[in-house]
Amino acid sequence: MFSSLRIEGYRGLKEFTMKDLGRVNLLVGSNNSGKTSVLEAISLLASAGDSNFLRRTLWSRGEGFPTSGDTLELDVAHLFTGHEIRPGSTLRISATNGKLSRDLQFLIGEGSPTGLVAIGGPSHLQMELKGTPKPQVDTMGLTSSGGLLLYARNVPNKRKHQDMNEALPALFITTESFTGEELVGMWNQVVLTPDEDLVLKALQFLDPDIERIAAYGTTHSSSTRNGFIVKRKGSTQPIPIGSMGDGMWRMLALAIAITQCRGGVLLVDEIDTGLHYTAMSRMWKLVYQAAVNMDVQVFATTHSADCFQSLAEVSAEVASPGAITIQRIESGRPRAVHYNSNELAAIASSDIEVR
Amino acid sequence: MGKRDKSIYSRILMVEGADDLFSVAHLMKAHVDWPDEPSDKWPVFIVDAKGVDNILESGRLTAAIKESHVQTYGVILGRRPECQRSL
Repeated sequence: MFSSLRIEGYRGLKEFTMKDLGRVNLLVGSNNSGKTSVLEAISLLASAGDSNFLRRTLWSRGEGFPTSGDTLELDVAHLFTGHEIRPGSTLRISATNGKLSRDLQFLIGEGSPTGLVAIGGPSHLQMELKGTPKPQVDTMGLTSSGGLLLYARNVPNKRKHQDMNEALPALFITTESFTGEELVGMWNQVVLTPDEDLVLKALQFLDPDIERIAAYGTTHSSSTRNGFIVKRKGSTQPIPIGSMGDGMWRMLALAIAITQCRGGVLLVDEIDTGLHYTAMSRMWKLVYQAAVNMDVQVFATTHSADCFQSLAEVSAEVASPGAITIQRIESGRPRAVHYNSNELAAIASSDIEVR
Repeated sequence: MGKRDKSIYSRILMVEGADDLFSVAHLMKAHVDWPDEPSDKWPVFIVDAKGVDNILESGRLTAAIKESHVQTYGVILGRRPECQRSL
């Protein structure tokens, strides 16, 4: 579990540190303060610099443009503070866990990586991972305009990074949540295991009449909320979860995702999306208890007062000291404002505004 | 501005209770420009802590000081032996 995080030169985060991290960490802050970038940075660090995961990160933000045929050119400059790259441009993401430090660095190089051809200007992106049992180095060639090529047919369709040696289990749930195909794929690893109960319980928080959940294949579930049905008490007809609202799909995604991140990190952008404020406290209890049981570290963002208030209440009610934190990110400020357990207890019983 | 939204104030003053709130407000009105209706022209926003224990509660003041809109935070506490011990 990471106890602190440091980011240098990644997107809008020229220099940024978060300390005293807990099991569950809620990031708050105004629009464009860098919350999503922090989640992205953690996911890149967890991926051990997986080049496909990097491509997906750029692609999912729309930071590419079609070139000839079915090729996309991803503009890596957007990863770097200031949206400009030149030879020597660097971004660095590091996190400590006790005495251990995991350190990922991307460096723009010039000339060919082998040094045989010197063409001037940015020519490659070098990734270097340190602080793991096996340090990694990878080099990705760039186009003459500093782009990273991606063939459309190879668009990475999984939010999970490849199982590289030094990668940590990690999933990043964006505001669009998961597609049916992605969720069914994960569900197949959960069904008929003890984790299945967690998923059912999560859905029962929103609808206590749900008795069973089943997946029905992935053929038509690539980009929609197809793929899952539930059996409700007193009903003979199965009901598609996709027809039960945003909150139900969000809760399904959260519960399944956390089971996939044992010993790793779960990243959730705008965790309250689709959830009514009355469900927030139950959602946090589920997330916290599952995170403890499965050794998952959770980083989530929100703009919602109900969301941070209910997390503060859960912290005061069930969490051990330091296990839950709120971190406020302010644009241009090098350190997150950290709220500890005592402060969360005060927030739970007052109208203190943390955003 | 009809609602007392303290997030528009950068200067906050916390007092022990409602009596202190009205006393301090009237005292200040006698000396500084202070519109009757809630307004961003108020020189300070006074928060009623609803009891000294709430002020002295561990984490309360540090959390309050960290509010993003706060630049200056003041506290008025009556002198009490128990306060001295807590602080």
